[in-house]
Amino acid sequence: MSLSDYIRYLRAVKGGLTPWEIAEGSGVPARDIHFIEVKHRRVGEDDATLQKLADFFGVPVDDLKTKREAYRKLFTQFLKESQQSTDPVALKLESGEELEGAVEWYSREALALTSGDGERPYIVQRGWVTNWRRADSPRWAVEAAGVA
Amino acid sequence: MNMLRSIREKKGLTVSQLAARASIPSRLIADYEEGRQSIPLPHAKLIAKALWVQMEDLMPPAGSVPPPPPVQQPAPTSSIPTANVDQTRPVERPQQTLMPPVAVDNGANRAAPSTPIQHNNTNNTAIPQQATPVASQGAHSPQARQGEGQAQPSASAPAPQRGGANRATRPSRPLPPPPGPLSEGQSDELVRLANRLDISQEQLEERVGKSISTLTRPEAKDWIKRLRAMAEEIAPGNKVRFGRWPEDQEDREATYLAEQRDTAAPFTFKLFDSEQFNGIITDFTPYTITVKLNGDQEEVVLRKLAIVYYRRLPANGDAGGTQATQPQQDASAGTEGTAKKPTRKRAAAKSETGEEQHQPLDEGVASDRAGQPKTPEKDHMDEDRGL
Repeated sequence: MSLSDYIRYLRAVKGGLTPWEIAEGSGVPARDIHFIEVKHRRVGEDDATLQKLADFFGVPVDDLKTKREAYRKLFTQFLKESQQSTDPVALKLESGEELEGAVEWYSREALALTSGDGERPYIVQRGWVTNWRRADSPRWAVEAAGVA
Repeated sequence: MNMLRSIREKKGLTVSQLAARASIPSRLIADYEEGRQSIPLPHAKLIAKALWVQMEDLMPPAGSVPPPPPVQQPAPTSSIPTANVDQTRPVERPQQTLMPPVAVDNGANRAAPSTPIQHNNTNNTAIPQQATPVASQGAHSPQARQGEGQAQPSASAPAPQRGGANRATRPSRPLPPPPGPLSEGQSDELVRLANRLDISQEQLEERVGKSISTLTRPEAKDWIKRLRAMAEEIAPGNKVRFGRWPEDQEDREATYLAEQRDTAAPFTFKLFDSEQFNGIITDFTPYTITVKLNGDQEEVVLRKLAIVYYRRLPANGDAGGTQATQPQQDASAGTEGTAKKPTRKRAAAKSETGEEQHQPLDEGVASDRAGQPKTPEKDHMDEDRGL
């Protein structure tokens, strides 16, 4: 889940806050919220802003910082490479589950992971992927920020 | 006779409607329809677009174009007073209004079909009758009409031949300048496009028919357009257009869902709160998937945002297992459908789970399915844990 997905999710959890309400409550201008959620360029994601947002939403700031590193383009790049090389990958999901397989196809919101039998791929919604790595590498792509 | 008018009427538009659609003043539209002016190219494009026809449809069929009346030139109205005085001057130019052209000492001017054009030299008999009342004062349209009325009966016979003589004597409109040679940027672009298409410059010149430097500006423009279209076909541009991303070009998931819907295969869906649904995909949209649950006539609509993953089940009906580390227990599947109804916002669905999305579901959720016996899907889930 990238920072943009996460902010959108948090907004929904809190009952559908609008950026204006967030701006009022946290001091982060609505424009910055929009930039984080929508812009393909990574704008407005500096530490101070994240701190204010974390305080406002009541989540640990490291959550936000980690997800900032897991931005969408990075994952897309990874999927593209894995699809071309057909190497198996491992994905970690928000629920804690891990799925392994080869990337058969991917689109903007979903991807298909084929395990042993190529007939029944897992269709994973990309928003719920927290981390990824190639199956043969032990290191996850996104280092948790400030992990002990 | 006039194509524009017939097309306009066929489309059921009034002049002012067409004028509004084409962003052209309505008096110009009227002039074009009356034949008082010929339609210049930019306006022709606008009008064709406003009428939803091709520009060619506005052209009259070949051979039927009447010679444009000699007076059809936009004219400064200031010339009229002087012409009144000048007896030898042929016809007078009309004002730029819908009012009929101003009468002169020579007689009335009108577009060809109606009133004939009169020439001063040969109409001496007729003219003096009308000339005097008109010429004595400034040319004035109401008077012109009166003048015309008197002039018509006597002048109708000789008039049509006069038209040709008139046209010959008047100074003709200057032709537009011949198109200049192509610009440096154009020749560079042609070379670049040739490279992109993998043709050498000689091959390009062959195709064009002459060497590049001898192309005129509009010719170069045309060739650039053609080459760009060819290049686009061969290798679709890798430039990302604003707002589009390569992944947007095809919705791969939609094709997959369409296939699976057609084969009616059983699926299992895992939601973010660890709920699971089993059933057949009956329908889908870019944001939802409609599932007919096993053993139920009911269909639920699942929001894709709430789905973590889904997978087809093997044909024998066993559930596809969930993989290794799953820290949370499955919430009771299917009875509390917080992610279900499309009218409920995702926010409402998520807020009920509290801040951590993988907390087990609160039993106090008001749901249509609360209190109903648990559906059989849960049994399948437990069986197959080991996968």
